[in-house]
Amino acid sequence: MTNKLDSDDELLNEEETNALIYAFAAAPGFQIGRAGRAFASHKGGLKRTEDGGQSWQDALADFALSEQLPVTSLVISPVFDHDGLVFAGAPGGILRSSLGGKSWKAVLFPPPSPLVSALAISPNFASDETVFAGTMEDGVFISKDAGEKWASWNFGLLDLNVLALAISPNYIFDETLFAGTETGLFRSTNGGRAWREVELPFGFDAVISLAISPNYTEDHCIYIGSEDLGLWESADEGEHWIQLAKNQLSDPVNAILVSRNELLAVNAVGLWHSADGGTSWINCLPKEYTGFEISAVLAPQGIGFGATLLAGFTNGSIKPVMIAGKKVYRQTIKKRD
Amino acid sequence: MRRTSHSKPKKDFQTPGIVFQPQVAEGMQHGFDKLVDLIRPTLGPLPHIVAIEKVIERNQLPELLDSGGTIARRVIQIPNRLEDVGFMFLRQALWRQQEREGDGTATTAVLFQAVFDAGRHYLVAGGNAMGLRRHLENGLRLITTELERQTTQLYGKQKLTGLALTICHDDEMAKMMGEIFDIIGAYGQLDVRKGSGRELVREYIEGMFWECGLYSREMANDEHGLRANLENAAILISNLEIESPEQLIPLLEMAVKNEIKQLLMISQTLSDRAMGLLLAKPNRERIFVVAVKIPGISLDVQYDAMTDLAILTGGRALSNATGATLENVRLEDLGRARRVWADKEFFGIIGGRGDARLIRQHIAGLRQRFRNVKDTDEGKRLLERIGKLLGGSATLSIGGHSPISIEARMELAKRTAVTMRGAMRDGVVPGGGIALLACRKALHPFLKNAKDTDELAAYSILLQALEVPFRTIVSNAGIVPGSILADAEHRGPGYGYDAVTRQVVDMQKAGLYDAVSVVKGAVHTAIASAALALTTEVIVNRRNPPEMLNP
Repeated sequence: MTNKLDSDDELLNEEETNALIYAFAAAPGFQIGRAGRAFASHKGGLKRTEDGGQSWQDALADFALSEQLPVTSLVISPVFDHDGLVFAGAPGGILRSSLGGKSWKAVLFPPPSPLVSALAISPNFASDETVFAGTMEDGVFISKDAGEKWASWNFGLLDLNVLALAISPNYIFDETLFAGTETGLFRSTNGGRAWREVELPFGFDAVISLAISPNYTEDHCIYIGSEDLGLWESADEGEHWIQLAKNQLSDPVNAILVSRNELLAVNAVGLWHSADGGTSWINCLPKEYTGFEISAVLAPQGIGFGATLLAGFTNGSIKPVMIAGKKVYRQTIKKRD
Repeated sequence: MRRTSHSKPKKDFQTPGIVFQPQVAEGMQHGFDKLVDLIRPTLGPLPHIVAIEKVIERNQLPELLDSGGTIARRVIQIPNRLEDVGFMFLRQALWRQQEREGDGTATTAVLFQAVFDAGRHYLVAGGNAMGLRRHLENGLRLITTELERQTTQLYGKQKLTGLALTICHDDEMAKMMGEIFDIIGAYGQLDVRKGSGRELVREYIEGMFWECGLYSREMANDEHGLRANLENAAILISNLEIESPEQLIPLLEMAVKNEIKQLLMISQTLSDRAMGLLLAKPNRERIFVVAVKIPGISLDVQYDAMTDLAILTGGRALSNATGATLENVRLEDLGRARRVWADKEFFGIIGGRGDARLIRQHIAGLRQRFRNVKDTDEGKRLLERIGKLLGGSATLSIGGHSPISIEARMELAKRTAVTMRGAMRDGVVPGGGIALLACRKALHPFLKNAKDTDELAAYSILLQALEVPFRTIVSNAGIVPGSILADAEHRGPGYGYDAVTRQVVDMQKAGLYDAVSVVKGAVHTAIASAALALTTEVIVNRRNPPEMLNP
């Protein structure tokens, strides 16, 4: 399967069955519309691009699957240039590639095998080789050998339906990670060996997206996107919470991206950007895309003004979008010769 | 305990009688002093062992103890009758402190002695016992409030290891305890067992398990024929007595009709004939049933287990008491779990499909009950239930060089666990007696504004008593405490004496903490008991009072 993404709207309007984009992952040096390798997991499989998103191929072609395999989550090694490792979550286990996504090996979880719904990789992966997999019904699995073997660690994780995982940028020292579940948020401060519930001001709503500040050690900020109650921020590791963008983000928040003082939150109606730590918000989604629901974003250049994102839609299309100030631009990708 | 004479001490427990002051206070004080002198050497981090001769196997080595509560418990009577009253009065207070908090008995003992001695001097000089008691109890409230103000929470393996070390003074055990409690938390389940080697070994078990095994090993389905493993299993939760195979038919028909392939059946009894039906090959191919006994013997424990299982798996408890039978079991009555296992001794559940919200609310309710419970045994049962529901447990196998040392280490591990749970629930204060020293400033204004001599005496007594644990720790390290106390006070709040490094240090930075529950418990027990003892005027002696094996 090859999709070409250009400036036409046709692809966007052409709804593919089972095509919802779940997640992106890009190799270091990925430049939208120019060069570089990235992956997009979707309801019907996994796509790969080698040219900065200008064209996409079926990354699982080698498997010759008899039916479509939903790939729900993705992570790429922080030292991808060196080890070429990519992990993709699917029903029953993990797809693991050590050849930059050119060929894949399935690692099955113990039966009855769960759906892998979220993945997180240690920032210190080069030395600790640690990857976490959140699953539906079986909690969190951990691998300490770069995804070869997996074991579940669910002490205190009182909801085993994990929807999102986020790992501290300072994981090597604080061993902290968060798990968003169908009924709330849990935190581990010992590398996933045990979990404690983080009390949320809204009770037991599902936490479907998570983000940790890149400056977490100093600012202690985490962000959660709930299913029904919008976007929330805690500046003290989850002790106290405030709601952000109350007027704009009341729908399910599908994804959150955080940089130093900027935030990007994705919901059904927009791509909301804040350049002032969450005080004011602008919808960056071009008007042409109104009515189409974004399900995932990739921001290889960060989320500052002028940066270009790749947006994945629920109908399976992938489009570049630029974060503009008051005026919102839609980018055109020209395929290079 | 060293005996002063080889001849058997003469007892005077035959004659009944009534004893008045001043003999009452004098006799009791001798009893108090004997017990406090016995326990005082164990206060602080440096090992001071009390050797107690064995009662039955006298040819064996004496028992070597460093726990005040256990030492006190080993003495069941002392020769002098009035002294025995005092000894047993304090023994009971110390043992209860140990049962409740796991630690702090030596602190309790020295504090008690300081308050009682000074209080008695005041009463001999003409003070009012009831007035003194009232003001001592007021002071106790102030100290408790001040301790709460100093309280902080401990997180992380490293800090918890430091805390464990201050409790057990055993490096290997502290390391294990730090890791275990970092994982299982304040309410997690920890089983301390006798190990086979010389070292400590810890093991973590995922999911919940109960100590009730398979009715028959023929139900096992693993390759060794020892364990049954079920996947996506339905669970019948009951305490029903299943006598005949006919009773099972409606349940099995309903399960097969609803395409249930694997079923865990929990019941009070299962007759051989009923078991035969379940094990018959044609039936087993249609539905694989594993049967285990309901956990617990008493109805209360069974009911609790059924409640927990029902919430955990989203099923309904079918109880004998409500007249439930297997005739009208519906699909929605069955619980569900991702995995179930059972062997000869235990059965376990991993990934129960109960509502995660209800499970958390249920745990919160049990925690609330645990905080309010007075009965120690009920507290233990509640803790066990909470631990199970949290989704995992730890086992610590204790090894050692001899059966005596293994027993002693098991006892120590259990005490350490109790104290660590308290510290994680309620927080910690700076250790080494520093937290009590810091409480003095809360009493100074009341001393200054005292309205009568009873109040003045009460606050003076408490101010001096609060120094005694610190002084004792320093003395036990072989140092004269006066200059160390002055040095610590000169350096400022939070500084105390590290008896191991023999330096005055910032106690928190050095990782030297005490569980606030232990310190509060010790202060409360010591002051309230001393105040009560000071108001005791008359003792009535009965003929041949029983020896106190238990408090």
